[in-house]
Formats: sequence, C-alpha cells, structure tokens
Amino acid sequence: MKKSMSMKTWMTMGAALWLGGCAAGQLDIQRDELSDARHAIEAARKAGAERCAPKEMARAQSELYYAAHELTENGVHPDETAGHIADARKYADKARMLARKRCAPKPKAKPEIIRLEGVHFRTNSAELTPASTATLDRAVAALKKRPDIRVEVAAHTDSRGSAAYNLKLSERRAKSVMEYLIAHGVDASRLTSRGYGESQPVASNATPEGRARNRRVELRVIR
Amino acid sequence: MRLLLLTILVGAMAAPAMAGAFDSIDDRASRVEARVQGKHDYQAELARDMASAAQDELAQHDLRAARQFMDLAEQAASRSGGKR
Repeated sequence: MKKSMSMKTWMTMGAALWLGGCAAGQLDIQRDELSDARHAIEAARKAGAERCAPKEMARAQSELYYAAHELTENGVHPDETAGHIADARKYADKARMLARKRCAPKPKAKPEIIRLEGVHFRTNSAELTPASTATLDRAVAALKKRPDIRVEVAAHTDSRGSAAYNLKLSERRAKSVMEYLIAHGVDASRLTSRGYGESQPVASNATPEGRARNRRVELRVIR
Repeated sequence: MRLLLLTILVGAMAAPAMAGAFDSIDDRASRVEARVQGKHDYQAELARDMASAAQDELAQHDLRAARQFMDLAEQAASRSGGKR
C-alpha cells in the first residue's frame, strides 16, 4: 500500500511539473541586444505616440516582441532577429515623428474682426451720430446673412483722459452699438458687448490721425 | 490526506498552464479580434499584431511561441477596454 502511494505521489508530481512546463512564459524584452529599440520605443512613448500614432507604436512594440522571440532561438535566424530590431526602431522613430506632429497643440486661429468704419459718437458720450447708422445697418445685414456666428461688440477709445474713464466710456459705447443691432433685428443671444478703453491702440495716440484710428468699434466673431 | 494535498498542489501548479490550454490559438485569436473590433487605440492595435504573430508562429508549428504571443494579445486586448 505504501509503495502504491509512493508511485501515485511521483506520478502526480510528474504530471504537475509537465503541466507547469506547458505555461508559455514571458518574452524577455529587457535583453541587452534590444536596448536601442527599447529606447527608441520609450522616446516615442514619451512623445505621446501611444495616443497620437497608435498603429505605428503598436507595430514597433510588436517588432520588439518578435525580436525577443527570435533571440530565444539562440542565433538560429540572425537575419530575422536583426530585421525585427531594425523594424522596431524604424516604426518607433516614425511613431515619434507622427506624435510630434499630431500631438502638438494647434495654433489658435486669429479671431475674425469686422471693423465698423464710420461709427462715431458725440464727444465724451455713447450717443451714436446720425452718420453712423449707415455703417451699422450694413453690419445688421451682414449679421443676418451669417446666422451661425456670435459676435462681441468691442469698443475702444484713444488715450486722452484717464484710463478708468476711457474704460467706462468704451463700455457704454459698445453697449450702445449692441442695442442698435438688437433694435434692428439681430438676435440678442448672438451678441455681447465689451469696452476695452485705451488698452488696445492700433496707432499712435500722439497724433490726431492716430487717435482717430484708435477710437473705433469692432465686431469680434465668436463661433 | 497526502493524496488530497498533492491534488491541491497539482491544481495550483497547473492552473497557469491550463488557462486557455484547451482553446485553440485560432479560437483565442478570434476572441481577441472580436474584443477589439472597431477599436483603434494603441492596445487594440497591439492586440491585433500579437494575435497575428501567434497565428504565424502556429503555422510554423511553434506552439510555445504562439502561446506567448497570444498571451500578449489577450493582455493588450483586455487593456484596450474592449468587451469579452
């Protein structure tokens, strides 16, 4: 009986070892031979390639695994091994370059600005001059043609007077223009107004001509 | 008692090897493909590449390599967040 048990023991342990040996194990991609390819893949990963160039990055990683597999065959296919290492580097470099291009933040588009030439106010007032209405009526027509856009009515002053006074004045002027547009049929939900005072000059305030250019109203398109 | 302990030992040692042992590489590859279908993130792409590598190795009668690649394919597929 004891002998029979011992036989069972050995058979069981043998079976366990055999089954354990069936486990596939892991490919060792940390081998020294793969360090260049590994570093190239790491550089691509740092550049954001997993997100921005997933296909190329996956191919690079696959080639690395392939190369690791070939290396387990102890030099049976040296050309294939070298080929996989070279491909891993090639695809990693490609992924890195694509990631730099695709992950880079897009430059902000310049906002479209429609200058309302000919809009004037009485001195130190937000009251529109009668001559301004022609320009504003054209603005109304333009806005009705483009119902998909929203605009900020932006008013500016020259630098005469205090900055605080000019800011308040520009706010009132912007609001005055916005109210004109609303009164002539532009949906109020498409409009906002903002005064910038003397903070954004487009010309020198040292000359009358420059100051005249700085006193202006614009429509800033917000999509 | 000793037999019971040995049976438990066998189970513990054999468990990793038994995972998927009764499924063919092709079946596992099909499951990976289904899991990442419609996905194009890095892990999904890697899963596809590894499943393809597993099938290539199987065609060359290297079952051990096929299993290694398929294990990697399944790990990547599960990280891609795909459904089983």
